[in-house]
Amino acid sequence: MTATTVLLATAFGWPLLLAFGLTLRSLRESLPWLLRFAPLPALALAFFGTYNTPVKMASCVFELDAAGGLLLAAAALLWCIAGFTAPSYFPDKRPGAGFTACWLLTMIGSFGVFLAADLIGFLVFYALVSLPAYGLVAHDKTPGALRAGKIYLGFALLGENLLLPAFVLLCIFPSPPPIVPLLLIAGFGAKIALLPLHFWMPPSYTAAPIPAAAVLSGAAVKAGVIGLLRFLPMESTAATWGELLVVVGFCGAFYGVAVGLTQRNPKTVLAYSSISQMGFLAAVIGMGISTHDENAIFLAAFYAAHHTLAKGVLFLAIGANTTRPARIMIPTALVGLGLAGLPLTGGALAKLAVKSSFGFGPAATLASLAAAATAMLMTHFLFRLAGTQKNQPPFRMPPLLIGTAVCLAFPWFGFPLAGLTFADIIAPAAVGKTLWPVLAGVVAAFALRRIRLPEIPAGDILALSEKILPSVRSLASMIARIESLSRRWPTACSLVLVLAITLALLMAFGFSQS
Amino acid sequence: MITIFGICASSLVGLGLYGLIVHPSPLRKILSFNVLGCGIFLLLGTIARRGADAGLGGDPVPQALVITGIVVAFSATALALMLARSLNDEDDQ
Amino acid sequence: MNASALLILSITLPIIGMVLIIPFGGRWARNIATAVLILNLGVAALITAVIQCKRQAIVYASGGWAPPLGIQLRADGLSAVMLLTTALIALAAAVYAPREFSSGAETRKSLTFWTLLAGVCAAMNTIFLGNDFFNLYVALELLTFAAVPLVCMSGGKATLEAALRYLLFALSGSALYLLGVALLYGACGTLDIGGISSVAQPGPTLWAAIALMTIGLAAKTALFPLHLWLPPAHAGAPPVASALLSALVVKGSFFLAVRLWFDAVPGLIGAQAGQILGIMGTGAIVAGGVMALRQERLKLLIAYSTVAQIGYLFLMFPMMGQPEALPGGMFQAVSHAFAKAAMFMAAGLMAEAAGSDRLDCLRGVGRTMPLTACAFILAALSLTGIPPTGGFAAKWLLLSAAFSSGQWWWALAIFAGGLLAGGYMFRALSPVISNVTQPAVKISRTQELAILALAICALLPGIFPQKPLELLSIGRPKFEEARP
Repeated sequence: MTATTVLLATAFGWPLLLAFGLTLRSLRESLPWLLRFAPLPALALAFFGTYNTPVKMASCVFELDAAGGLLLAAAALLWCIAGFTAPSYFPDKRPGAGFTACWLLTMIGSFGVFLAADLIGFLVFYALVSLPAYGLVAHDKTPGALRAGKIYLGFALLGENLLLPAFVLLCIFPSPPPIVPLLLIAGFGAKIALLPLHFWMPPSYTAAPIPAAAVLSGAAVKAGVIGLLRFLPMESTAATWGELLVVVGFCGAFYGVAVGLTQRNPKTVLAYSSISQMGFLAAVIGMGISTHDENAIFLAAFYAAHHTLAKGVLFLAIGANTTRPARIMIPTALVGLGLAGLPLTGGALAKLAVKSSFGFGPAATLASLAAAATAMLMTHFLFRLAGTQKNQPPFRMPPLLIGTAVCLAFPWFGFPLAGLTFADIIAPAAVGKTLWPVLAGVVAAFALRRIRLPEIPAGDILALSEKILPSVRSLASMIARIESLSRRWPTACSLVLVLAITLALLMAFGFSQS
Repeated sequence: MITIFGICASSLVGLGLYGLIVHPSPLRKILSFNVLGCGIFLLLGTIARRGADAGLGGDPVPQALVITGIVVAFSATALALMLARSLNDEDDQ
Repeated sequence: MNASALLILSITLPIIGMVLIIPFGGRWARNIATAVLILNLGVAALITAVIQCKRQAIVYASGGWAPPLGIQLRADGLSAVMLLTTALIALAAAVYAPREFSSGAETRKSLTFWTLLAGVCAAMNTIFLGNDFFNLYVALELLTFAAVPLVCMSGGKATLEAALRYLLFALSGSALYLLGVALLYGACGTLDIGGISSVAQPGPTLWAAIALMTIGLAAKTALFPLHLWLPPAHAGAPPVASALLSALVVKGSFFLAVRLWFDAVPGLIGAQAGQILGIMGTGAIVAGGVMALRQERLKLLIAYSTVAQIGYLFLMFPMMGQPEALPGGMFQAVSHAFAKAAMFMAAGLMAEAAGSDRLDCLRGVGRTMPLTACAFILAALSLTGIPPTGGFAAKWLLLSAAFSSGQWWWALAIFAGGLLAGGYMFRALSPVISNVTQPAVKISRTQELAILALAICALLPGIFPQKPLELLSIGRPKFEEARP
């Protein structure tokens, strides 16, 4: 038994043990306090585990690879920081047992998807990271939260049911039929809120308690990213699918910003920023696929790892409260603009890393524009953050500052792996290239402040989709009418005869054919 | 002769099925089930005659099936009648 | 001891129990039934162990007469899996039931229940072991006669009507089955499953026989659109009876259809014939799902979910040629049995605590009985087919069979079914897990643990699929190794 095996077992076993601890009345009180320690074994695994050696445990196979390990480390750090703040969000600093259980299960799932190396194991952890999160989204039990939870769960189930046939096809055919990439893109796209499957995200993150929104938008969403990276092989997937991803991704990147700018609730603004960022990431993956560039896997993971921490910290900043706003605004600005590529922040490294995927064509221009758009949305977020009354109980500052530091510094540990050198990063040309979109975005955001934009309801086309509900209802009532007709005695008895005769005739027909 | 019995059996089966479909009253449905059952037993008898070995009146296996079938149909009828009667009692109250 | 004696024991033990309960009665009824069911579980486990070790079916020729003269009992992998499932669920029912059917003074209700519980067990075991279609007919009728009184045990006009409707429709179904058996005998001259598979020749008589038997069995299994009897019967019975009816009784006739199609005449049915069963199954999945979504009462919702889940069972028939089809259907049968039994029993406890099984009365009931709520959630996950539950393994196998036979359209049915199941299970779950405070009630830990054990059994085929897959293949000549 190697150290990696032990770490693997504790990475899953320790949070699971805590979840079982909830059944003991005596432990239930102190458990929320332990949430911050739950991700530690996974963090240790990411740093000290042996890479690229499969480990068989129970009936699953696990393997650490560079992309998965990076995302695992980022996710574990975020779960840890969010775990520090989570209890203080609740009255008496005590979240309910249901919330704690859902938190731990989602965490296990979120680690598992980065580690699972077999199809079924991945699906198990994917379900774990998707479904229990309902308890986090709908935790407040307000009508809005319940509605958001329902929409969230609907999309999670849709994703599951799209992925299941795709995985079966992957399993039984050596060269999967062309429907598989489409199912995978739709299934994982529902998780990362690819256009047009994005409208669950704003209501969910708006409704979720802040710590939950932080881990969901930071860590849990990356299950979809790792899914795309693992199951759409860069070298063998048809380039068409890559192009589709690029187009859909960029549409989402700009659409998210455009709608986000009209939002007033800072949580909703961040949710739209997630739609935008995930769209950008999908475009990175799409470029990798269309150019069959295997490097893109790690680069996309590198970008996603930074987003994990950045988005989590930004959400936590909404809950932070101090007497001196500058103490919160400055770190938040650094992280937020870092997401757009503010030079020398971790975000700039992430941006530089994925820059090579876009080449020099129109895609590169779009990528720079996307960065400018991000800077604009982030500046808008900072305005909204400053202008929002806080009525939640405050978080303590230290975890938030630690989070900021980690977020700014984390990519500095990984950049040599992403093919960057220190000289690349501090070269004036590189600094300039990442700086101008940020400046342009900030200026544009200031300019936009003068214009009052109409507020689009969170979830934008959700309102449209509710228009089709009546027709769904009438279809359902038609089915119900048929069903109640079939439940009448004479109909059912006649159907018995009709079906028996049809079956006999079909057998005769089928046999005469063969 | 076998053909006539066969036709009789199928007519009984048809009558029974028709009764089961159209009659709303439980008692008539139970009776229809018995007619249907008789048709099936007659069919079994016909099959027994048809499959008889030389020198025998009939194949004994279907005959054994008929006897068992009658027992089962009898218990089914008894159970159904009991239920119909309890239902009737409930209605009277 | 000869292994084949185990088969006799498996059938006679519950019958001996029934016979003993009637004269002893009273407070003995429960003890006798429980003892018999424990022994029955032991016998089922022994049969499974013997089959597993010998890697071949156990055969018993009654009276030493080999078919076609005598009647044979035969236990292969399929029988072993179903015997174990039945034994476990019946035992869980016996553990759950005493509060409802109190062991104190003898009541007619408690006496009836314990007798019928043993009766259902005896009938199911006979169905799983029988190897002769007429013998199986008798077992099927025994099952119906044990099941019908379970429906109307709570008394009242509505349940009596439901029971009568069930009985009459089931009788029509078994009349068609018997008609088919008569024709089958006319065509083949034997009713032994092995005999038929070796002598049957394709022809109009055979097709008519198979069609009549299949549709008769479908009517008894409540396959859409022949399900008129199921919702009122399963929703009106006492919870533990509903659990038996939904989990086990419908599987009896389904199992016979499997024997008929997969064992007796596998090569003689044209490829098109299975499609109609698949279409009926799809109709069940869709109509049952939509109707479950529209129910206001928990027990009716669960009953309609049974209608929908039965649909999955019949998806295996159009893909008969695939090695994954049969295990897929059997996985579904087993995991549905456990999950549905757990769900009906949990619903019974929750409705008792809330005073009603209307969904809006059940708000917050999960907080007063967390173990039951956990079991309910696990069962719901299995029915929705979320990994790593048994329902998921079943869907995986069925999808594999559908894709490798090129019949991708069944994947659409499974897709729609997954979404609908998620919807109606969420509808059932959301009041249970909501955080309204309910007055605390006294709950029995034994009952809760029985439910939880059943729910965990529903997960096992998903977590350890390899063992049951191996077991299912024993004693089946045309069966190849299936993928997990």
